[in-house]
Amino acid sequence: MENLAERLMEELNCETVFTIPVFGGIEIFESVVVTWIIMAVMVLLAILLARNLKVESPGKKQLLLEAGVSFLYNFFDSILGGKGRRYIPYLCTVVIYIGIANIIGLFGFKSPTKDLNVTAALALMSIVLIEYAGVHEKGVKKWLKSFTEPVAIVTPINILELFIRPLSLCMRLFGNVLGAFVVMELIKMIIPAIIPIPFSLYFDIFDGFIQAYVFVFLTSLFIKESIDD
Amino acid sequence: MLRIDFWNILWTVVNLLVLYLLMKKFLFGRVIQVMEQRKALIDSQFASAGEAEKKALDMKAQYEKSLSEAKETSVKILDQAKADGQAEYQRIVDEAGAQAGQMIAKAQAAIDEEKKKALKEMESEIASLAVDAAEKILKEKNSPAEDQMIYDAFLSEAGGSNEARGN
Repeated sequence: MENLAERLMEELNCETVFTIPVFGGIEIFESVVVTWIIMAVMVLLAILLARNLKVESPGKKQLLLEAGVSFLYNFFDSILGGKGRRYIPYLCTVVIYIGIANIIGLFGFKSPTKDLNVTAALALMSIVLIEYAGVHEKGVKKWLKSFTEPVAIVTPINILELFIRPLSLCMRLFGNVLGAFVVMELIKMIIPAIIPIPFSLYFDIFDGFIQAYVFVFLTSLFIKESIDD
Repeated sequence: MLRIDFWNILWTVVNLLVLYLLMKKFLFGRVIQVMEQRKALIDSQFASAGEAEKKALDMKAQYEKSLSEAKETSVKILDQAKADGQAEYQRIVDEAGAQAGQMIAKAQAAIDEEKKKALKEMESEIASLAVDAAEKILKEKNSPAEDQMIYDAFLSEAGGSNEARGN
């Protein structure tokens, strides 16, 4: 039992991989390094897959790629509409990144989304993007005015939302990945064979993708809300 | 696990931005561009196909129109030809009738002339016969019996010449 707790803590702790010796030592966490690996894989795959694209008579590989990309595009497009089309590539990137990050535990890496710093960064970028979209669409004046809508009395709540939204996005993703990981570790400790398979399918794969979906879905919904009125 | 570190948040943000730019450049930009190009191509093809169809329909209408016109013209020509033929036929028949009538009248006239001529000839012959007979009587001063004989002779002569004409 003590052994398990130790192992869990070790798994949960985000280790410092190395320290850059400036400003009194900047620590680089494992999550950042794993993110680099994910980035390298994604970019390599993108370059390999999106090479020699043809307008006429595309091959099977290209058709598959186009089907996947247009699936994501149509999904975001149906939420955002015409005015938010410019944010689609970012949302697509994030959903692929979170999807891979959530299931990379299966390949022996430590999920970056199990680190609060990563989910906080993701949520931070989401809220910045949401408010940027609002400013870009309405202009600063109208954007500021939108905090007092629909009635002036809800202004404090609207301002609070600026912090609640990213916090909930961050904590939802972090908590789900962490919880799924802990539950899986406990199941594997009690029954190490066969039984963990369906649970792993659910907690490691299904839940990972669902959380990626929920994160970008909510982000795009908030963007839609801020560019719309 | 719950260590919040400013630098690592910053690194993640930088990572995500870099990843976004790379993905946009290498994946989404390219794929979307290709898909839009294809869409434009398909649209232009559809437009040109529609145009061609319209052209074909126009040509078909024109063709049908000219066909019906030709039909009308041919019917007209046929009617005209029929009428012309009828008129020509009528004219020929009329002409032939008139000619035949003329010929019949001419023939009739010729026959009448011939008749008259024959009559005149006969009359002159009878007269000469009568003169001959009278001469004979005057020359011979015969008996009544002779007179009777002469008269018979005259009659038989006249009858002979009459018979010859009848033939």
